[in-house]
Amino acid sequence: MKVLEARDLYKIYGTSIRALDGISLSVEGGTVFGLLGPNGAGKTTFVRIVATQLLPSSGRVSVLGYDVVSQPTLIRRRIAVVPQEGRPLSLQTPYEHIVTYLVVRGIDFSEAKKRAESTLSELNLQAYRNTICANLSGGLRQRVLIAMAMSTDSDLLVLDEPTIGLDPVARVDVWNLIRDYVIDGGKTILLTTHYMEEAESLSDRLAIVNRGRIVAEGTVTEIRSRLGATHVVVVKRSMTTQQDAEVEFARYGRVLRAGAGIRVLTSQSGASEIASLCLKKNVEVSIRQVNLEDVFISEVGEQIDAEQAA
Amino acid sequence: MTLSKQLKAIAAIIWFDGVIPKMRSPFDFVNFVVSPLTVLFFIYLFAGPGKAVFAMAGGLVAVIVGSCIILETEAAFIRLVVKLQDMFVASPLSPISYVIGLSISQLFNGLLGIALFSTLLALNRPIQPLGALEIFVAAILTWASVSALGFMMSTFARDLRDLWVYSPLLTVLLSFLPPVFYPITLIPQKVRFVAYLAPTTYPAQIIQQAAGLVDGSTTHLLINLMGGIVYTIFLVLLAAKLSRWRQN
Repeated sequence: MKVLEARDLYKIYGTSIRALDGISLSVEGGTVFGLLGPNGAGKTTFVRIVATQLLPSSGRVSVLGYDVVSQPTLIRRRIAVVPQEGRPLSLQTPYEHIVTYLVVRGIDFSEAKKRAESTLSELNLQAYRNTICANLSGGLRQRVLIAMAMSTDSDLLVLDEPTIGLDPVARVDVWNLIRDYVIDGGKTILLTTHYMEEAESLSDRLAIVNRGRIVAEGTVTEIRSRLGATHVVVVKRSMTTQQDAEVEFARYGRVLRAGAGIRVLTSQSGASEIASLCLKKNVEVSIRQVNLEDVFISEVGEQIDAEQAA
Repeated sequence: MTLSKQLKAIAAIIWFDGVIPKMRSPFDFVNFVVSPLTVLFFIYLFAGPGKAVFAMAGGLVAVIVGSCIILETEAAFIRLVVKLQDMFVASPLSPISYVIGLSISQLFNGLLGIALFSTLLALNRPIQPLGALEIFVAAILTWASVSALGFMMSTFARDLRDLWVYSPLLTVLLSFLPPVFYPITLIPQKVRFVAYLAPTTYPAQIIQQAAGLVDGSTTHLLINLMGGIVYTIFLVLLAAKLSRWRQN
C-alpha cells in the first residue's frame, strides 16, 4: 500500500523562489524512505507539506490516502513529526514531554502514562525519566523528541534531519530506533538527511533532491548502478597538473574533481590499472566501491555544471 | 477531536507550559511583580496613601499585562526555536486549544502579583460581591485582549530577536501610559479619546469603579464593559485571522 504519493509538486515562495520544482514520488508502507540532498535542496519544504504544516503552490500529495490540502485533519491523526533542529523544553522531563504530547493528541491520561513508560524503556530513556531536559546531552534531547513521536504509534513518522549535530554514537542509536520502529511496528518513515551514510544505512528507497527536483530515485543499489561504475579510485595528489591527470584518466571512466585530487569512476579492472600507474609514479591512491556520495557528487555536480554552461 | 479531548489537551498544555516551569523556577513569579510594585512604591511615596490605592488597582492590570504579553515571545520560542509547534500542528490538536492553553499558561507567571494586588485592594477598599465579579471580568478581559495581541505579534516574528523590543514597549503602552495606575480624569478632555486606544483602559476603568476609586454610573460601567468586550473580540478575531497554524 502506498502511504505517500506526490505528483508534480511545486512550492514557490513569493514570486520567484522555487523550493520544489515538480517533485513526484511515492512511498510504500512499512519502509524507510530517505530524501537526500544538500542544504536548501527543498527537503524540509517537501516534508512540511507532507506533514500538513505548509500548503503547496500546486500539485497533489496524498498521505495515507488523504489529500494534504483538503483533508489535513484526517492525516494529522495518523502521522507524527520530528522537526529539524527541534528540541524539548528545558524545565520539563522526558516523561512529561511524552505524556503531554499524547494527551494533546487526544489520548487518555492513563493510557498516555502507560505509553510514556513503555516508550521510555524501549528507547533506553528510563534512567532519565525524571531529569529535566536542560540537563540532558544533545543526543538524549533528540531522543526525547523521537520518543514523543514514536509513542504516538503513528502510521507515518516524518523525521526531518533527525541526527543533525549528533556525535557518531548518538547517531547510530537514532538509526537503530528508526529501524526498530519500522521492523517491529510495520510503520513507515519519511526521513530527510544530508548524511550519505545515514541515507545508505537506513533507507529502503531514497531520492536525491537538488534545487527542488529529484535527480535520482530508487533503492541504494539502483542508485549506485546509475554511475555505470563499480569502483572509485581516489588520486590524492595530482600527477603533474590536475588537468593532465583528468585527461590521462578519462579513458578509464568518468573523472570528477575532489579538492586537490580527483576521483575516477571506473570498473574493477580500470581501478587496478590506475592504481598500478599511480604507484609507479609514486602518487598516493586509494580504491573503494562506489557509494552514495559518489552518486550524489556526480548527479548534483553534473546538474550544477549543466546550469552554469547554459 | 471531541470537545472533552480538546479541553484535556488545553489542561495538558497549561500543566506542561504553565505549572511545571513555575514549580521548578519559582523566582519567575517575582520578576512579574517587581515593576507594578515599584510603581506602587513611588506613588505611595510621592502622592500619598490615598492615591496608592489606584496603583493597587493598576498593579492588578499591569501584572496580567506583563505576564500575558510574554505569550508573544513564548509562542515564537516554541515555533521558531524549539519547534515543538511543528509537532503540534501535525497532530489532531486544534489551533484554538493550543492558543488557549498557552495563554492560560502565561497567566501563571502573574499568579503571585494577582494574589498580592487583589489582597492589597481588598484590604484597602470595601469591595462588594458584585464589585468582585466586575474585577474578575475586567481581569479576564485584560488576559484575553493582551494574549490575543501577544499571539498575533508572535506570528510576525521570523527570529526571536524581532520580538525582544516589543514586550517592554507594549508593557509601557498597555500598562503605564494609559489610565491604569491613575484616574482617566487626569487626562485633558480633548485628548482623552487617545486613552481608549489602549485595550487596558476599559478593564482598568471597571476595576477603579468597582473598587469605588472613581465615581461612575451603571451606564459608565456598562460602556467600559462593552468597550472592553468589543475590543477583546476584535483582537481575538484579528489574531485568529493573522496567526499561521498552517503556513501558506
